[in-house]
Amino acid sequence: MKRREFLEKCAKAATGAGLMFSGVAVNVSASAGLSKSSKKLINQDGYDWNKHYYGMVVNPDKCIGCYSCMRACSDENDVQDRGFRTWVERYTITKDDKVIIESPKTRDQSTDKDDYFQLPPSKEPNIERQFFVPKLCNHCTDAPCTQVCPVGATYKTNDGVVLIDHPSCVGCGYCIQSCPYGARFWDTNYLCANKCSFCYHRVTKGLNPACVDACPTGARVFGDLKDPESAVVKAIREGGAKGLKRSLGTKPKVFYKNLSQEVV
Amino acid sequence: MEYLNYVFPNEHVEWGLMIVAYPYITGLVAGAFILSSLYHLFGAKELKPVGRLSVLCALGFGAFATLPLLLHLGHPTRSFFIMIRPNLNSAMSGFGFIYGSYMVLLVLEIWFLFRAEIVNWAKSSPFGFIRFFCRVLALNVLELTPGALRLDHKMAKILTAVGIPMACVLHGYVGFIFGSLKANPWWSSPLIPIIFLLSAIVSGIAGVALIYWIWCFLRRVTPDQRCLMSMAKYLFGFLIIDVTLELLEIIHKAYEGKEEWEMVWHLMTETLGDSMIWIQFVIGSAVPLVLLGLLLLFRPGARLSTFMLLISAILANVQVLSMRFNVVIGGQLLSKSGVGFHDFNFHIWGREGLIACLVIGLMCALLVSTLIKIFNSTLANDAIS
Amino acid sequence: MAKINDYSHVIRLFILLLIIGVTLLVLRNRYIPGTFGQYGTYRGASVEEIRASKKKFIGSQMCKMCHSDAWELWDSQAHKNVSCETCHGSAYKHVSMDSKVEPKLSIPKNADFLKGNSHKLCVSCHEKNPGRPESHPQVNVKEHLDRLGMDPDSEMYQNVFNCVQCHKGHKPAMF
Repeated sequence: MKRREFLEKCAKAATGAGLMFSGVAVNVSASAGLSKSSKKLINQDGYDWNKHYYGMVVNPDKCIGCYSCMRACSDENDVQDRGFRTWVERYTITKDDKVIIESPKTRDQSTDKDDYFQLPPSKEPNIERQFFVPKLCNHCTDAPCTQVCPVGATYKTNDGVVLIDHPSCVGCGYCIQSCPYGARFWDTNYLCANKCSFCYHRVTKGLNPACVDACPTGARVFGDLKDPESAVVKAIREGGAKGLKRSLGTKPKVFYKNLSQEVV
Repeated sequence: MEYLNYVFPNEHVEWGLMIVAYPYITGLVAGAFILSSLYHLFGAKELKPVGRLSVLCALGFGAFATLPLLLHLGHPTRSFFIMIRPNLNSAMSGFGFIYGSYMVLLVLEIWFLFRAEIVNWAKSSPFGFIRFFCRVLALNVLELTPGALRLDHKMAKILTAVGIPMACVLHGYVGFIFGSLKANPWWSSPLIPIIFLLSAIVSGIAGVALIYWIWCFLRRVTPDQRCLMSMAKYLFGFLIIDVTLELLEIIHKAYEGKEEWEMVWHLMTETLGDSMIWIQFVIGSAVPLVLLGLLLLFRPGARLSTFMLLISAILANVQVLSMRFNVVIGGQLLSKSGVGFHDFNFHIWGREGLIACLVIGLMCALLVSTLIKIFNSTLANDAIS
Repeated sequence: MAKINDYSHVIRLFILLLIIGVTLLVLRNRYIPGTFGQYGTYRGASVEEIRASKKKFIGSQMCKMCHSDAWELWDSQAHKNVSCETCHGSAYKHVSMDSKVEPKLSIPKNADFLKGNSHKLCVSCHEKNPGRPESHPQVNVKEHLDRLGMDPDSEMYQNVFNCVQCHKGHKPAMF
């Protein structure tokens, strides 16, 4: 009796182990088969993403607050009305040391049908000084948003651009919570997160992002941080360029020149 | 330099009442399980009447824990992505495995604890389909030898032992989701996971105490006084540690006085105001602590003790629910600009509305009461001895 | 059927769990996207999908091919740093073979408040504003029009006699 029980137990254990190993075998062979078929991808038109690392320099001194960049971005990227991929903040410092920050409304938020994507001139009486600061996604090297996405729907490409894979996004909103710069927003059309993509479809073909081309004063400078002759590297070398909220360790790749201490 | 209120244009309150409900429900699950482990593993014999009851409560709440999340997601049909393609750097990705395996563990624990009853029904229930169903549940093993029953008991103990750290992770990871976000000064703290876990245990013990009392009341049976007083004792202990840590976090932030402290202070005292100070701390924490303290010090008669315990249990749950609200919603009322606050709009209808929350609560209550009704006689036997 | 003993139910449970586990593994491989994990914890095919998006702004150099006179004038005057499409709107429809869209100060669809009205378009850059550097050409529009005896709210100004009557878009300086 004991031997029969023992053999029965062995048989059961062997069945169990066999099932487990077959499961592992299925898993391994499936992924081997899959990875073989998808080796093509990135280098199809000769673009090697390992050779580039994109960044931007923004110069608030040159920005005149015309909002051409916002209009261009919304045209290029079919941005919905709920949020901004890029926006321009207006800082008004009054003579009694008050700081008033304003930015344009989205079309959803505008009450008067004409007052979105623009700000009328300030009616504040005692202005000491005023300036404009364009803002956008900083495409951080250590982006907190890519760290917290539970399904890997947002990621950093090898050329340094943080992108969102819309078909994969489940819409949990965790990345929106994690961005310290408020660059991400909830897209009510796609029901997932959305943000500036550095116009990836343009920059990987040698063009500039739409906002950079639209800016009439050259307040936005885009380029390849790996190319010492690029406009962005030259602008950084001139000095005075630094990213926002550096103490958080996100290593942003959008650098602001001569950043005033009031900028948030 | 004085800033006028400014919030970034992309910011809105994204996480609503559903994300308040989810930690509350999983908190009840973890807390009820910890209470049952006090009996099954740590030998608190006077908790026998609620030993198996609390595991049933845990299952009843846990079965609907995913509902708030599914109602919140932009694409609930893609929710299984979390199971098949998680990004393991993210605390939230743990949800799939942690919750899934914990529910499996809960079901197994209940299976081992109630196997004897299942086998009895499989053999002697008057209804054919129940006999068949229970036979399948028992995996066609219809013998209850003393050796098998001892094994059941041992497996239940092992599962409880494995289940305690799993329950801690089940609720701890929720706290970590908030505590690890450096972008939000109200959330970013190593204490948040621990506070979430402790308040989960508080809500679990309080919840089971209430359910136990209601169950006895409906059967017109006197609840076991020693069991109730034991639960009061554990509730008191965990509530003290929980409130201490919550206060410690605030005191620490105040003392360090970092740049964001002004915003945090404004949030606590004005934006959240009544919700934080009156509901969470005064009514939710101070009153139950005083009541339970008096209860344990002076040991009044049975009726007064029970009354004080029930009030404390209800208020403790109010504390835990308001704490979840203040953390989840409060954190989003702070703007990332560091110089502004949002408003929170309560929705009544809609996917994240009050009605949806109440419906989920009702469904949990129904499931719990159904489970208790099914095993009514065996649970009643637990109380006698 | 094997003999039932003290731990039969545990063994059967174990086998049941194994079967469930393997089934879940098989399902996972069936439904996981093929390119997931290729370059990192994300769906690799997404990179090319995003790269393949259509570009709307074609750049001022393209306009020169057909509009060389206007282009040469524009390139020699003060507005040469303002790209054609900043005022005229994105031109991808205009240059595409199957479309006959004429961009006459047409404005991108999300800014239809400008509605091709030059006074609003010009004003968006040139209204006097304390935030703009002194070197940037700007004017207080109301005062400017008062001097010329015009009312900025009138039909006449908004639809007929506005900025471009004196300041041509491609040659804005009058003197």
